[in-house]
Amino acid sequence: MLKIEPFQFNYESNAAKVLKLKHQLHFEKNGVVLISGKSGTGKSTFLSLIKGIIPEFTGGHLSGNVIEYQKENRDQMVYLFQNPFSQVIHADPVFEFAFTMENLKIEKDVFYKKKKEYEAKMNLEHIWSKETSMLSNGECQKLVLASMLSVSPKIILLDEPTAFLDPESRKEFYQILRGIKNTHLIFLVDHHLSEIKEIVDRTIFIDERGEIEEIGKDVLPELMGSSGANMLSLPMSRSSNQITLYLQDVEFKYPGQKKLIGPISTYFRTGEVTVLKGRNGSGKSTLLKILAGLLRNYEGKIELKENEKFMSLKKLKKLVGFAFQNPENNFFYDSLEEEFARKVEWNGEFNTEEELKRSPYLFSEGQKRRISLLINFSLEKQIFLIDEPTFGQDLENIEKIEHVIRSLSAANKMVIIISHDEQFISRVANRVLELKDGSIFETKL
Amino acid sequence: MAFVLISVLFFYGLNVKESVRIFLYSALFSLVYGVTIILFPSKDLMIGQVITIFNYEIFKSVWSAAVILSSRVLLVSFFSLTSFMVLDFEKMMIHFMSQKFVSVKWGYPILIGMNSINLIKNEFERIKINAQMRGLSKKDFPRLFFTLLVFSIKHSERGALSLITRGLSERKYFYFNLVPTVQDKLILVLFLFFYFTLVSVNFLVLN
Repeated sequence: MLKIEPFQFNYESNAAKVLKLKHQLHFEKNGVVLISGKSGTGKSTFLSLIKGIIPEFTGGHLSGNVIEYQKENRDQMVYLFQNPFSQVIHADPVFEFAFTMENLKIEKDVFYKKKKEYEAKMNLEHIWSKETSMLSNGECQKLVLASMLSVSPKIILLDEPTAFLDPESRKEFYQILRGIKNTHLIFLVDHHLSEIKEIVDRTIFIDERGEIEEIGKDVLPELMGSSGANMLSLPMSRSSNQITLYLQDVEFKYPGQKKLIGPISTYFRTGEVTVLKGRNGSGKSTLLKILAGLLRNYEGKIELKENEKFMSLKKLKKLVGFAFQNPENNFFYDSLEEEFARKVEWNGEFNTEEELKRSPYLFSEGQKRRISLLINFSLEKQIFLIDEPTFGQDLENIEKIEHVIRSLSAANKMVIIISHDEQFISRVANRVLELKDGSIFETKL
Repeated sequence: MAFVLISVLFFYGLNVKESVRIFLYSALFSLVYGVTIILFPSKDLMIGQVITIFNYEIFKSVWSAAVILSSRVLLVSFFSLTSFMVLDFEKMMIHFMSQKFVSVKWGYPILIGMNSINLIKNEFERIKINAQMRGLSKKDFPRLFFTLLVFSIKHSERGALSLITRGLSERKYFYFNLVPTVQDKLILVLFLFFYFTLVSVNFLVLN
């Protein structure tokens, strides 16, 4: 069905970095093939080589064929990326669904049959009347996948397709994979190993040298285990300031819309990690903006106390640091040295001269997330507001982020996190608050 | 001509508040453009009478060119953006591609760009929040645009790859026979007529 021939690929941006396959890989049957490995080892590059995007469209040097008759067979393969909204072309979901079939010149009557088939299979009936920009991440990802499946591809390449999905949408996505694995050959890059182990048939591993090798299914539990990676350690000097934020009967609505939050009453304090949960659109990000002092037209009372003395809320902006999902929106300078407001002696990463002189954009995705948190630490922020820190991260990077978060809490910082990752929550949270229908509930850990 | 066009746009649903906002953005953009012409004039304009504007001496021809060209930019950007608010841009673009007036290699990237405006706007909000929280000074403000530029370029790259991986080609089918409405055709014709009139008048004045 598919043979991947030995090859070597040298990256354009870094000639020393290679990706190589020494022995042919042969796939005779349909099923799910997991591509695993640490962040930055070349998993996405491998998928792009299979699809033929690299080196034709993105550069680099390839020796070897990868797949015979790749160009002729390109239409037999579809490729789903990580970020749903980066793949959407149309504002109208019907046009979006039709797009792949139009490109492959499939007859229009087939389109109507496929539309009916996939709206039932993938629970898409309710999306046709919305604009694609109003769809949730999960709905958007399903729509693009449905568009790709509608052309009956033989091979499906999935590059962290669940990275931006909440646990419910992710479960639904894996159910879909379970339903189609017998009729398609699926290459899957995904870090949620405990959730996908039942559907994986074969595993390919890429090591830190970029060497690709098939490993046995019994190795999968080892990949799921703790990596024991070296952890970044923050200076242990604990701030003596005890800061508490009290919310009393706080309500908020955006102009022209119905009430989103409230009335809610709760508190947040330094030395604690509080996780905010809730469905998309429940107001979590809005609550963070209120806590940061960015949204002021709320009703109710918010009080800021520092060492039991009331402080002006105008002080909040000086105390608060944000870390959004995209860490790059916190990068404003040419080097790490300039990003960090002051020299902080932390152990582990980001303290060699070579690293400090480097642009923050040149680090890996996991490193960028940690850099975003450390920038706020170097600014001596007391309150850290963090949005989905584990999205798209592998186990090792999640553990490193957890370690940083625990260190922040140990250094008496106030940490408030939006997350859907239940395992992460159980490991870092002191308190869990859930936003539902405008109200806030404290849930048990 | 401009009056006719704006009247038609309001008739077809252009919002006053939105149009004022667009006007302010267009004015800012054209002001920056005008200042650039004054600060960096081309050599063939640097002849003739010298005048003083706000204690600054410049050639009269440079001043005239700055005023005329930035006015044109203001009008073109304002009327383009307000027209797009009222037109069903996606349907128009698909129609033009299906009729081969526009190549799919241009049309679909433009569509992605138009549909990404909200996404980029939201990302800029987050960038501004971070800048605010970090206490970046006003002189560091241009850095925000670089951060936004990086995001926009990466987003465009992902969009382009998506088009490629989904098999975009010039020979693609178009399932939906999207004929522009009378409203869309009227606005488009008026806009194009307005634009060519503006360019012609500018050309005659400058020469």
